[in-house]
Amino acid sequence: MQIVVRLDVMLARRKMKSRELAAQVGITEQNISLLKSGKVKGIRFETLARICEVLDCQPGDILEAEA
Amino acid sequence: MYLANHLLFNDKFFVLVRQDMTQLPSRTRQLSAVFRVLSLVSVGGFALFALLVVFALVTKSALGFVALEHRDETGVLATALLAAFALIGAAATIAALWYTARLFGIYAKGEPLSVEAADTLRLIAFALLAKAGLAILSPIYTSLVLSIDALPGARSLTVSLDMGQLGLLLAAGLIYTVGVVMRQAVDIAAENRGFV
Repeated sequence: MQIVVRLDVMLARRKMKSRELAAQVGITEQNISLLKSGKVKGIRFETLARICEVLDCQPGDILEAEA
Repeated sequence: MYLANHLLFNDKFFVLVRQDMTQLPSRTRQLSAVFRVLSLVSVGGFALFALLVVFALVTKSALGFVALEHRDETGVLATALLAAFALIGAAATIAALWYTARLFGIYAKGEPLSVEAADTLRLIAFALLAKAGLAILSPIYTSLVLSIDALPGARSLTVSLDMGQLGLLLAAGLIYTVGVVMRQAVDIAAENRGFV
C-alpha cells in the first residue's frame, strides 16, 4: 500500500493555483510542486494542517491510500 | 508570512534565505578560513621541525634550538629507534593538524552538516588517539631504548602517566563522540530535507 497525494484534485476543486496556495500556506511553490508529484518522503502535520485550513478540507481529502 | 510574501514575488530571494539558514554565518566561515590557513602553516612548520629533530638525532648534531639529552651516549640502533618513534609521533600530530585544516576548509565552504565534516571529525579523533597512545608509550619506549646498550641489570624502564596524556585521550574520545553525533545529525538533516 502507498499513500497518494491528491492535492492537484483539491486545488482544481477550489479553483486555486499552486502559487496562491504556496503563498497562503507559507512554503515554496517548488515544495507544493514536489508534494503534488509525490516526490517527498513525508509531510509535516503543521504543513498538512495549514493546507487543509487554506483549502477548507480534511487531510483525507488530500491523502489517499492506494493498494 | 514575511518569507511567504517574498516567496510569491521573488523565488530567488527565498532560496537565498533558505541557504543562509542551513549554512554557517559568514563570520564563522571567515574565521574557519583563517584557522584553515593557520592549521596548514602549522602542518608545514611541524613537519619541518620534526625533520630537523630527526636530522639532529641521526647526525648527533647540536642544532641550536634542538636540545637532545644523551646525545653523545646513544648508540646507532638506539638513535635509529628514537628517530623512528619521533617520526611516528610527528606523523600523528601532522595528521591531526591536516584533518583539522580539512575540517576548517569544510566549515569555510559552509557545509557543517555534511558527511565529509563528520568523517573528518572522526579522523581527527583517531589521529589524536594515536598521539595520546604514543605520548603514553613514549617514556617507556625512550627509557628502554636509551638503556638498550647498558649492561644487564643496568637497563631501566620508566612508566608514567600525566594529566596531559589523559587530557589528550579524553579530547580524542570527545571529538570521536562529536563525530558520531554529527554523522547522525547529517542523516537526520538529509531525512528532514525530504519533508515538506
